[in-house]
Amino acid sequence: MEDINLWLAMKNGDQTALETIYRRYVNNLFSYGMRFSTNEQLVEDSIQDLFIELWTHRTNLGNTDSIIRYLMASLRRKIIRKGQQDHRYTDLDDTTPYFEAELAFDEQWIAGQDAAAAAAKLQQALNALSARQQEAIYLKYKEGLDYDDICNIMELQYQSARNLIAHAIQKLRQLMDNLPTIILLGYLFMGFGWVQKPIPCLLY
Amino acid sequence: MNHNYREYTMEELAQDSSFIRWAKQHPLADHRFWEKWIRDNPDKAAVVEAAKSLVRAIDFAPKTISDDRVDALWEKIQTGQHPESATPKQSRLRLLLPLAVAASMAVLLIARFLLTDDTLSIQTTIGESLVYTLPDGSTVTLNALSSVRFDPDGWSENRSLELQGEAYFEVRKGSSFEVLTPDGTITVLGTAFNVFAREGAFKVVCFEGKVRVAANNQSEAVVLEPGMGVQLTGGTFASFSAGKDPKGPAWQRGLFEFDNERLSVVFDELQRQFDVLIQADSSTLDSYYTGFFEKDNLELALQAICWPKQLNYSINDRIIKIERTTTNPQ
Repeated sequence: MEDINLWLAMKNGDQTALETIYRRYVNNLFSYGMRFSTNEQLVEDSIQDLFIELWTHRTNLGNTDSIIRYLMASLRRKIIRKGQQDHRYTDLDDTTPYFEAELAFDEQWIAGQDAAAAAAKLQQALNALSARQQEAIYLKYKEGLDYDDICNIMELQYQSARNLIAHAIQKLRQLMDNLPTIILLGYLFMGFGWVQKPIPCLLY
Repeated sequence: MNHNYREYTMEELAQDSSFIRWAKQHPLADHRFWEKWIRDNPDKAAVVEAAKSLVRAIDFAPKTISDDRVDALWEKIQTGQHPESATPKQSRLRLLLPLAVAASMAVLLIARFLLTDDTLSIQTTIGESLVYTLPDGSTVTLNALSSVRFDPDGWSENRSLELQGEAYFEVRKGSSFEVLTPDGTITVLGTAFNVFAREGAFKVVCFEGKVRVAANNQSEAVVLEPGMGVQLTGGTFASFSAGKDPKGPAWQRGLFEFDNERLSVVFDELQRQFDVLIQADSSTLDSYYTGFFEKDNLELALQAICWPKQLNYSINDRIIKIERTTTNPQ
């Protein structure tokens, strides 16, 4: 069922629709949440809160054509709020949450020492990006979300989201120039973890 | 898909959603378009290869949740129980409506400190305001008929409280400080701000520092600077300029100011400050008022409101009738 109809069914009190939404997106939510905190319990609790509130307040919800956007934005707020209580970070002024992207490196593909060093360097470059840049990169390249969704989730202006990604790509690209091509070829054979089901927001 | 892409640099290509989907072999990828494009633009092969490598290199280590835990979590969701570590549920503290209270007004002008389970509730009644110092030295000034509830023992870990009514906060610097209301949540680190959260109205004004306001059940949030205010109308935020006042809101000093506010809102405040019941017709209540009243004298307050609006008032015990001045044609 398409997001928009699934959402409507849920709003109308269809509990199986809620379960479908939950099972369709729980992996994406968990994976995203775990970038903000290493505490699995905190992330699971936040997801639990999120779905209970979704159900409790279903009649007051607006319509959405992108459930994942709505869920990720809410989950993000919840985890950040709990994270703040954790003293995870203290500077609200730049409203930058703790976010840690971790590239997927399959040991098998990093056979040679050069390649391993290059992989480490790429990860280093990613770590050198700000938490917001890492998060924007994650949403765009892992979740395949568009700029509208990213703005909505990260509470950003459209242009800021574009700039975040553009600067991040620029930085990563500079690094790529120094990487041996062999490792890059290795990536061609790697599997990529897209969301299990296509999501309509990709159809813009 | 009307893009030509010929002018795209490697970086631009690596940021294009359609290209990303193709490079990552996404189920919705437009393979036909990109394969044809590459055939038609052989001079761009190097750019495409580089962009493809970059896009594919950006993959993230999976964080997975086992099927068992997915099921267990769903069970918990079905029971509707919030996890223990979650923020406390909004208390359903019933505020006495001025209308209902009007007759029985042998009110003690003493704030009530109620201790239920582990939370401490501080309440004010009609006509009362109160400054309360929280365990970390932050202060909350409650306007009349308002309450805050928090956990004093857990305060050092969790500076979070629930508010009903109106309050002004001066927050000591430290970890995040949170004010929960039925319609929205305010998050700050150390600053001064005023929150008005009564009967569906939600309004926040920042006096110092930065204040983050998020509507509950919505992805919308705004960050306020000093002098800025925001209110929730029809589910969306409308910001307004409140003027910078280092002394905090005027109501703290017994002065109630209104800028083009509905008279019903003004009279609601009057009823909260004086132990009275106002009766007025709906067209009067729907008109707008700009001005102020002070809380130490009922008659002066009534004059301050009625005179500019050309209204008459008559006081009968605790009931005040408001009527339009009959115009004399002369």
